Amino acid sequence: MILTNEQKDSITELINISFSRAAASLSELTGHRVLLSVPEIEVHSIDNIESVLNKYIQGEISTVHQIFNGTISGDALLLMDKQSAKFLADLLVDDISISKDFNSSIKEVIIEVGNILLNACLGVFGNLLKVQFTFSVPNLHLQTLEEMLKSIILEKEELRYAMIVFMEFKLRDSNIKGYLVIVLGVTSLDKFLKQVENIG
Amino acid sequence: MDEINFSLTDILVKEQVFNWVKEQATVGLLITDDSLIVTFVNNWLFKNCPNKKECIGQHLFEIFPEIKEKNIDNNYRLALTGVPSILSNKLHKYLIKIPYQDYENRVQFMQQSVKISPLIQENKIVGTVTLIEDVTDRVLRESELNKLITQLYQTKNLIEESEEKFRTLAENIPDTIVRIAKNFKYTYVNKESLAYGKLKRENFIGKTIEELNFLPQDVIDKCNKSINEAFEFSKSSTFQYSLFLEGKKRYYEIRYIPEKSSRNNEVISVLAINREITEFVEINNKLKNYAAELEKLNNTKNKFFSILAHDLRSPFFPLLNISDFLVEDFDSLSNDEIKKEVKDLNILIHNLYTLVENLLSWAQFEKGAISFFPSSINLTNEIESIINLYYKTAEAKNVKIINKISEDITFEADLNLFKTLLRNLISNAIKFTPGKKSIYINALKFENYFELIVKDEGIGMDDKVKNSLFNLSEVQSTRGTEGEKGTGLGLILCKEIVEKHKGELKVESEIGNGTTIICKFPYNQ
Repeated sequence: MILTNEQKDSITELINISFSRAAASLSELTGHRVLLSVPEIEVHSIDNIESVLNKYIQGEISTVHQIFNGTISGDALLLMDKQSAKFLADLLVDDISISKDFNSSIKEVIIEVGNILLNACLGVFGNLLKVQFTFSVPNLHLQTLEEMLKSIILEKEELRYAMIVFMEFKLRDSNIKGYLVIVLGVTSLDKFLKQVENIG
Repeated sequence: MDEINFSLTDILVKEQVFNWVKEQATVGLLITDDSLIVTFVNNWLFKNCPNKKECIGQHLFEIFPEIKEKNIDNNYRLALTGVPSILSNKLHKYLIKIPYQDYENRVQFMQQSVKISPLIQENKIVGTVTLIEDVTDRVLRESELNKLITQLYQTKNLIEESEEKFRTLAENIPDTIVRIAKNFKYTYVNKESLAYGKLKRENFIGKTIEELNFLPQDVIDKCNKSINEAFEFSKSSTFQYSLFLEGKKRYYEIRYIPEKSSRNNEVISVLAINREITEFVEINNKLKNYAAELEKLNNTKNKFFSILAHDLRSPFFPLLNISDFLVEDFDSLSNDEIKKEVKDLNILIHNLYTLVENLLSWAQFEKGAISFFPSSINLTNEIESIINLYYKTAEAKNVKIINKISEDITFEADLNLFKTLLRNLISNAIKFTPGKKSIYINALKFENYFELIVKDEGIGMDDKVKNSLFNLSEVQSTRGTEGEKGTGLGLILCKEIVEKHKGELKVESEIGNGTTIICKFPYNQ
């Protein structure tokens, strides 16, 4: 599904506002200046999502996953390649360790950062759709993109779409790329886009 | 009825779970209503915060003011809108202050990971649930692990640095250096090795010395033996070998050094250092040759002076005696007496001349200054001319010279040297053959060579004398059957002449049974 330029601009603006707030929260929390670049947004059928993301992210990936329920329901995901996720956590906590592996504390940091970003993004959805969601507690998965997508798609019959938000963390002279993916049913997406048009 | 039973069971299970969470859980559980008034805390919290026992019914932020101080109050407001939060230990350290004393008795705060979730009842948010997990032990373990990992990386860096230094050294020295693993395969080769083996590095690594196949099998066997000894017995070893490379014989010295693990002293690899020592070997060989040459020259010089001092001087005494006798008593002597003395004088002068002649020839041989011009020679003719020369001397001793040569032999030789040889052989034979005995001269033809044989029926020699014939430092002059004097130099000279013609000289002799001299000559030089 291709977004019209107007839809794209409106969503970008809304997410940008929420990201600014999220970046401010992260800055306050960590004591480091955290910036989030102006995001780029694309909408794809869930069947195409793997080939789209495969261009940007390969190997073992870190996924912060939150399920949201309410009038609409879906999956919210923050994807980063494993080493970028580890590097981001190290930069945020000011404790760059030599080890390339995650320990429990690093996993928690990544979950908290994912939680903040996903909440910010889904907050925009809630405001636009004038609905209240309830969220699951976020989980972290370390697996390949294919495995991760399989677990999301499993047993879902409705035609579903994924909105991909391409984002970039800028902190301490480093740029780290991340991908925020919101998976929605066709009805919810249609309702969301209509609301976006109304704002426009 | 079944439905009632099921509900009762459900209630009982829930009650048990509740009791477990309340009494036994190892995490803190804190529940508030939608005004953030505390409605429930479990025993874990009472145990860890004994001064907060009266918290039920109190506002959360009043009981735990640190929540607001640390701006976590916002997470509770979010929870009341349905948004859960995770508070990671790394970013927040703790939610509520729970002091404890560490093993050094310092007051620390319990490290906590926290989940703040909305409490939902019948699709309505009715409050918040906070789960607090004590992660102090985990944080300490992670910290220790991080220190360990850092140390390991530092050690790894030091090893890499040390390895780099080794490589810089190994890559820039003119010796070939290789490292061999326990399976006898190369794990490292330096730049010089590649030039030596004329191979690329990737062709070397992972191969054994047999697989590379650039050394002869005997050298490979020695290498494998040394490698085995290095691994088995931690033994260093060195050996030398030579190869023909680019048309030149080159010499090498290879040293095998076991490399041990600092952990258990076990040999983990073997370092082989190969050095070309061709120049060293050549210089050493030259030195050895010089030393041998010097020794030979010294012996020659000693012999020369000894001959000069004794053999050359001695013949003058009888000469002087005879000439003095003739001068003083000439008038009183009869013609026959004068004739006899003059004859003796003549023999002595001839002997002296032969001695001087041989001495000079030998000296020239030793200097390497002797001229050598081979030409075609007929053996029979030359033998005849020398026999004629010594005919009278032999006749005077009543010794017969019998030429038995029947073959017509022509060969290449230096005429002057060959004549010197014949003179010495025949005069020697005459000297050591008593009267009424004979000397036989013969020649036997073979395909590529012939043998000249001079056999006398003289006094012969024992083995001791025979063995010392050609040893310059031991050679002794033996008087002839009529007291003829010699220097012992004649036969040495003969041997050198024969060898100069690429031949061989053999002596067969027995006391009382005469002596046979066999000179083997090739037809062509």
